[in-house]
Amino acid sequence: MKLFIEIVFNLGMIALLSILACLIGADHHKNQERKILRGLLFGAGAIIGMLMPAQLYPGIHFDGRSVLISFSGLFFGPISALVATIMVIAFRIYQGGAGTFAGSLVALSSAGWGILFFSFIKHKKVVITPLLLLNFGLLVHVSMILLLFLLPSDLAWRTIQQMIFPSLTVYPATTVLIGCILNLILSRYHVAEELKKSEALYRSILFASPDNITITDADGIVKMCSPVAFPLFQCEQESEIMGQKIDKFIIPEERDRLREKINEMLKGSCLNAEEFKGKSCKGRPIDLEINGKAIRDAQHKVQYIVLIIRDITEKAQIKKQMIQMNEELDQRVKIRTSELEEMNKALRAFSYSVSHDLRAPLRAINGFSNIIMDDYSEALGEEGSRMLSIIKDNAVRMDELIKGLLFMSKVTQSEIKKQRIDCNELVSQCIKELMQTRDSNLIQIQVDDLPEAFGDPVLIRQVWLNLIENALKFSKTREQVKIKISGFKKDQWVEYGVRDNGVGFDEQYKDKLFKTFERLHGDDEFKGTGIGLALVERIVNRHGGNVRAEGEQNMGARFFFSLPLPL
Amino acid sequence: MLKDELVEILLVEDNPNDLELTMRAFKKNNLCNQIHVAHDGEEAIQFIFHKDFDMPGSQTQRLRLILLDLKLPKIDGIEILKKLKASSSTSHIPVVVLTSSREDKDLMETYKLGVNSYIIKPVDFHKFTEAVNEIGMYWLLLNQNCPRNMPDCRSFPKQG
Repeated sequence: MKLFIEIVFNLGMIALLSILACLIGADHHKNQERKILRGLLFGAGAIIGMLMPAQLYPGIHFDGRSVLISFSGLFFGPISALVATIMVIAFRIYQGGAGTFAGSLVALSSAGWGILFFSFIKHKKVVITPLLLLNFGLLVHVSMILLLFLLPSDLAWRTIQQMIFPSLTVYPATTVLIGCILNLILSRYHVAEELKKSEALYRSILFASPDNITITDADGIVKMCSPVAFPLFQCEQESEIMGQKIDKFIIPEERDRLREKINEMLKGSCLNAEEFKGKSCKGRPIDLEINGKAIRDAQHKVQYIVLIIRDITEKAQIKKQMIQMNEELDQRVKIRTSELEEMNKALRAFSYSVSHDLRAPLRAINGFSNIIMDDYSEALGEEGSRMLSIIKDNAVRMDELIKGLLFMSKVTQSEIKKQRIDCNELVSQCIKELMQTRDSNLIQIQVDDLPEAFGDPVLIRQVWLNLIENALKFSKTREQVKIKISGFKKDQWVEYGVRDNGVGFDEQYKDKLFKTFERLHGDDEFKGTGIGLALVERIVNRHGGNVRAEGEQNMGARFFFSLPLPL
Repeated sequence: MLKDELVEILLVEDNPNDLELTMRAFKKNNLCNQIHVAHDGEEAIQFIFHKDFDMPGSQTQRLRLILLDLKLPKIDGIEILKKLKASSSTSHIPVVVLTSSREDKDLMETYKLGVNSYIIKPVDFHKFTEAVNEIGMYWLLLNQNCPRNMPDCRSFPKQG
């Protein structure tokens, strides 16, 4: 019984010492040093305990060292455990006696269990519970009992008999008790540490943010802000911002709106990229974009308002400039459009009067020449009639030119009404029309199956008509005229081709083919106005397509034009 | 009776050359003596809408065809056409526009106003003669005009 009381007394002391060791070591900052310090403190505590042990037999004492060493391992890891163990073993050897060897081994095994549990807890992320502590205490002290077999054989059995009861009751119980207390202290300490860390983290966010993060209370009084607030608001003293109402940095006209927004935040909504006109302490105008949200405590009472204030002065200026530029551009486009419209109108009036007024004299020239030929042919004689018919023909030819020009300007100006075009149909219509005045025995036209195109049927019909007519015209000298019409799809386009076996053309004059009024042949050879191909090019270009020609003198010509495929 | 039938065609033409050519073409087709010529829009209006133009047997009521140029001094062809088609006494008279150019705008407007034909004067005199001949043949010989004294044509709109 005396032994039991002594053990309890010793363990109580150990409990006090361990708590003390735990508290003393708590503030030390450097990790490695702290671990050694903890080991030293726990070792010292154990040695104090060992000074007043429960003595069973001479040289065999029991004290709380097993508890202390196991805790140094369990809570602080291998380094602390090792330091404490070395101190304890050294002291035990110094004390000497029959239990020296077994006592040292008990210290070692306790440290071993502590370290084992330490790593178990760390790796498995287990929470220290009383049950875990009980198991821990039992394991440590069952080991202790087993190690008692190493005592001199005469003492071993008696010692075990005496110690088995306290080892399985008081020791584990003390372990649980002290363990819980230490765990509590350490976890408090741990929480405080974590809090410090997270505060540091948030503070660093506050500091690192390019935007001014300002925290105010529910009334809008600034409690905290990012350092960027100082250059932003052109302040030097902390007192110029802290404790000031946030309104101070907004121009008076907009303060009501800000207040309104703050009230909305107090009611629970967020402030999303709201723009305000701000001003710095020195009166410089700033454009601000503010995001914000009220932060509430557990009782839903607003504690803070977090405002993220971004300087958008530059952005706003650029935006303003852009708007201004856009407006200017708009204005310019309007002016240009009206100028163009004016020009178009003038052009239309011009072509109207050209077609009316220019053609009337031609009609007179032609008509009266005819009358002269009818009524005065005898007086004219053969030569006179010939010359008069030249005048007449030229009037007709000039009319053709005018008509061509008018059509050309119409094509250039008029709107294109695009739709799906069946070119097979168009081509057969054109051929029919052209063959009305020609001998079909001499002409062989081969038409492949033509893909559909997307364009203005009226205009595209004109293209076909001109190209086929061209082919017929320039191969009329052949005994057998051969014309081949084809079409191929190429990506988003279809390219049509018209080949003939006519007189062809010299490649070096290729560029002139599509120019208005340019002709490669004299009128005595082949009649023409020089408008047909120019018209073809203009129509095709207006559809976004291209025209090209290949040919050789006397070897026929090949004309190609591309049009978009139907969508 | 023959005298009454004399004026059957009103030709509104300001260009003397075109006028002469047209007249010659009509002459070739033996239609010449039935033509009255108005040299501008005002003259045409005066001829058509004279004092008792809507009386049966009046000059206007005997008209069987009006050939109208569009570009005219004073009152232009479109204006005349509008007046002709708006009046119940004249709306039945066939109007053929005889003009120099094919303007989409003119074409659409005249057809909207109820023109009966739209002819572009060809520069080539032979074609021109042919065109005039065809106009005369069609409107004076082939086409059945609305009978002048049929109540449907004349008085119906008045009652309405």
